[in-house]
Amino acid sequence: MKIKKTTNFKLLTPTVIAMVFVLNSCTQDITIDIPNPESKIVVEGSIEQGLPPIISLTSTVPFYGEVNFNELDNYYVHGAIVTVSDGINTVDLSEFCLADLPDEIIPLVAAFLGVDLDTTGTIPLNICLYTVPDIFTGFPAFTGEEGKTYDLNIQFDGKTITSSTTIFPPVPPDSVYYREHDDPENDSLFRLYLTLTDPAEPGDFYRYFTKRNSEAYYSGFSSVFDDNLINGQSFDFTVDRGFNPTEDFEQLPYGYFLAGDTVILKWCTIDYPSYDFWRTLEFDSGTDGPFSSATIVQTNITGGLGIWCGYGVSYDTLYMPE
Amino acid sequence: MLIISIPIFSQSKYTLSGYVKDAETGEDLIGAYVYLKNEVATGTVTNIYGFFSLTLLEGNYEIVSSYIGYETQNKSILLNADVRLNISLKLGQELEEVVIKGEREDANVQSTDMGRVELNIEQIKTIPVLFGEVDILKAIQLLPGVGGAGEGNTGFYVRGGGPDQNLILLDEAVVYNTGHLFGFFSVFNSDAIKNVTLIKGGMPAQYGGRLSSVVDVQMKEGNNQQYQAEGGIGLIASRLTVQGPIVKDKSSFIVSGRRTYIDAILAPFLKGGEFEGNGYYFYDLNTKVNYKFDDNNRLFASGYFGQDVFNYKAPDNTLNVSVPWGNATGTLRWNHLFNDKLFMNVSAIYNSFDFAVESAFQVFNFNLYSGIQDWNGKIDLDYYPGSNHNIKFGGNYIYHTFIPYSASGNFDDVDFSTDTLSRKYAHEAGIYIQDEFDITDLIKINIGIRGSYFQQIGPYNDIIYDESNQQVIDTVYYEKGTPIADYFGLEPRINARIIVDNNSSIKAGVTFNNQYIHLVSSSTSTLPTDLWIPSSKKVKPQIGIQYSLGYFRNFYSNKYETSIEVYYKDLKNQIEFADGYVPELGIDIEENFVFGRGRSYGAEFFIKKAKGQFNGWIGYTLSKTERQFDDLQTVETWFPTKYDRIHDLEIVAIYKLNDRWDFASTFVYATGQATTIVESFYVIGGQLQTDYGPRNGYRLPAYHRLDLSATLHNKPEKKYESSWNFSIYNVYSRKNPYFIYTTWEGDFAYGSVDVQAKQVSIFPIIPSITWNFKFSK
Repeated sequence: MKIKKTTNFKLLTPTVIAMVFVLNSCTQDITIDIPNPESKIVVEGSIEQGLPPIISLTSTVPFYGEVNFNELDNYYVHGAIVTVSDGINTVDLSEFCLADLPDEIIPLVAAFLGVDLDTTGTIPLNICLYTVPDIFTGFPAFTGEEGKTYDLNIQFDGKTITSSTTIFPPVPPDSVYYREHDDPENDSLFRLYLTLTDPAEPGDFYRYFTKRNSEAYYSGFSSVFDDNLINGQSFDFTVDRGFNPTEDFEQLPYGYFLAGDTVILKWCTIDYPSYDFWRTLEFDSGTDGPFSSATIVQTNITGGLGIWCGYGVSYDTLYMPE
Repeated sequence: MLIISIPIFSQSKYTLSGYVKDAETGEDLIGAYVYLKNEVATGTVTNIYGFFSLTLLEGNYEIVSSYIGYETQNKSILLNADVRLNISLKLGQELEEVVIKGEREDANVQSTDMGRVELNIEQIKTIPVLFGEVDILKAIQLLPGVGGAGEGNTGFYVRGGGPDQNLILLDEAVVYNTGHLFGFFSVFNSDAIKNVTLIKGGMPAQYGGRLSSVVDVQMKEGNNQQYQAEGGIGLIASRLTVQGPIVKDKSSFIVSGRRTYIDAILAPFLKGGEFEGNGYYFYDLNTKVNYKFDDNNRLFASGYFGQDVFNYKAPDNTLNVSVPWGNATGTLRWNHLFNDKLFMNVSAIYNSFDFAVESAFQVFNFNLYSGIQDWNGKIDLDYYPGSNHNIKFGGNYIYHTFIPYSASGNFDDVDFSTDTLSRKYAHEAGIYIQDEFDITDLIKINIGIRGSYFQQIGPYNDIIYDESNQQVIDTVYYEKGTPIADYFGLEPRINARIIVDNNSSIKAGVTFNNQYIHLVSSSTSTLPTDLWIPSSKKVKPQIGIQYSLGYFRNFYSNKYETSIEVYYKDLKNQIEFADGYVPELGIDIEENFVFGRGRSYGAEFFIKKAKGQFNGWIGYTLSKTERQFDDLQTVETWFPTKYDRIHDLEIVAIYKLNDRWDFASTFVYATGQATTIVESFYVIGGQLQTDYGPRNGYRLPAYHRLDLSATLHNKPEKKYESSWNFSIYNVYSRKNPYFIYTTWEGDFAYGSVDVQAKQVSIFPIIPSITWNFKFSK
């Protein structure tokens, strides 16, 4: 997987000003000498109605100097004790690593996770996750339910990490449709649109994913919304095609689907702390320099970084024309 | 028994008053000393209009008048009635007696003004600066306790206070943005300036509205004796000042302009390169006219207009940006003498600062506008009742209009704009009274109190958010003039000077200050995009209490002046952006603030050689400025502010070889700026994310720089003076950091991620030549 720093168009103007004001300046490489920062645990976890909780536990890595992820045995956190509770039932999660799974299951799981297998069918990078022990039966006992709050508890190396999230009732879009690109030269590019009626009470937050053909679900660079401007109203708007981080970023096709694509929109409701996490995370990825501020990502994990997010999901399928 | 009462002959008191002026130009001299020979303690200083008043017992006196750079004058007076005495001082012969500071030789020891520095423009002109341009604000930063904001930043920090805590006045009008091109040049064209006063501690009650300092800049009135044209032609900018009498002795004018042409000069060099299409220019225009109706009434009208324009046009026309910003001020003043003891000035002032961005990028058009406008009325009275009391009282009222980011534009086919309902309006008012007098022979005290008031009024659309999830609960619309929030402050100011012996004194002071308007900047540098905002329901006024103590001593008959000053500032209601701040248009920026307390303390050491062919000074400040905010992730921990400069050192040396050559050099050193940097990587959603270290937990490399200059004067002729100034800025080409950023690229799966930190600097070594001239008719 190729990882590159991406641009956030929300910040276009200050970034533009920043670029053009660097006039007659001189740039040089410098060394930043700081003691190795304390390693923190990073949680990337989700639970949605009908699916069991799935949690990825990793560590932070010092920023300066060379970083080689393959050599970092402790990039994944192995052997943590992870439990999820809905207030009544508690389930202990088990760790599964892709490399250790039976061969027949690997392609299915890889597709679900969005990992590109190379031609021999082997995985480029191991992925480890914590989830319910009975997941491969196809009918796990503990799955998310609408309206419930789920507490996450992680014990590792003498540290306790906790978090809590709620699955709100889903708010499915009234309809989904497409629109061609404005420029007739790009008539094979299409944008995904949806009509949404926001519930009357203020305080609804949304996140979306798109799945294109056989790819996994991905989000766009601005993947979360609040209802401040649209509370209680019906509203039409467009969302970018979710971005596959293993691909190179190219400006023009970004956000658009191609002719003939089968698109699934996964439209979810989330709680405010999760919304705040994605809002600050997505902003911070796009900026650096003197004209930016250090936006601290608002994690909802106590004792660590990352996110534990409950999703109230609804699915819609749309076929882009040929 | 008859009691016969014998009438005792009692002595009457009479008042000696008048103006002290420059003999050649008729300019009023500010802060000139008028005192009794041999009785130096019985004396006074001229106010900002050059007026003085001394009430003495009937008798014969020898009156001495002195002022920096001028020949001291003696006059015998028989005081048996009220006398109006106007004194004209001649410019002194500079060589032996060059005095950099201290109108009266031991003024630094004698006056109560601790933390007050008067800077005469002629002395500032000898200090080398960038591009040969004389710069008042850069000169101020060469004094201890005053730190620059760093390479490319407008604004300066006084005793650890932010740039918005300095009250900067030009002929009584507030100047909001003091720098061209991010502070490389200040907006003050020194040819039009007469005097600069810096007050960094012990702020007297007549000033209010800012916590840390006052920089009071007075423009020249204009030579009312003869016409004069002066200016300079330099590599980067040129300036021209024309002044002269409209009616000799009664009325005069001064017009002063300055412009760069760096854009025209660089354009051919940039063509075809990566910076092609950049253009930048600035200009300043100062104008002033005055009219003296009679001995008791004078009218002044002055105006300042300045603007920076940055524009960029990409060679393939995909991007077009124009960024104009600037100040405009206008002041109308009326001096009125009620009698010999009561002087009044009434001023009407308008000032504004505007900033705009107009840009077009492919299908994206974007216009951003912000600014602040004030209408201001002031009355200031100086009352000299005698017995060495010097009383000042008066009032000040300002009507503010704040324009936060107003934006409009379109992206593809989506239009957007923010409401004008985001504008804010407020009343700000202050009244004060202060008195300076001797309690005993040794103790002089300046005691005052200022009452201040601030009220935010409508029209305003207040959007009320649920604190727990930032969602809109309600909107309340306030009609025009309706009060929204108000604040009241009582600000006592006390300063005392205790004479220890003939050459030394101790000064102490406590001052309370309220500040009702605030400059917020979310970035690590100061930019014209920084926003002035009022206090409101959510934003409380900043409150500061400053305690200062100093020991002042002169050596070798006032040849050396030394001082040690210590201070402690307690600050409340300081503003920072919340940790998770994301800039968003259309939302009132104050929703993103968190509030906390600050403190700043330090010691300033100063030694100056005030006389002789070779003179100069060394200033060193050791200080700390920090804040504590419950609502940031730092919680209980005190963290340094970005204004914190632990060490600050300035060395200024000036050598006057002879009539024709003088040389100067400055060296500055300051601890690097505190900034927040990335500490770790982590992965979310298959993408690398960054985690920051503690707020302001990393220090950029230290800032230091050496400048040299040499000036060659022509043989002075009666009507014509000229000089060539050669200067080198940043002699050893130190790459002082402007900002640092990081780049990273790599292959997460197969290999490594390579991170590189980079530093951007702006000014390497820059030599420059300026030709200065002065014609008189």
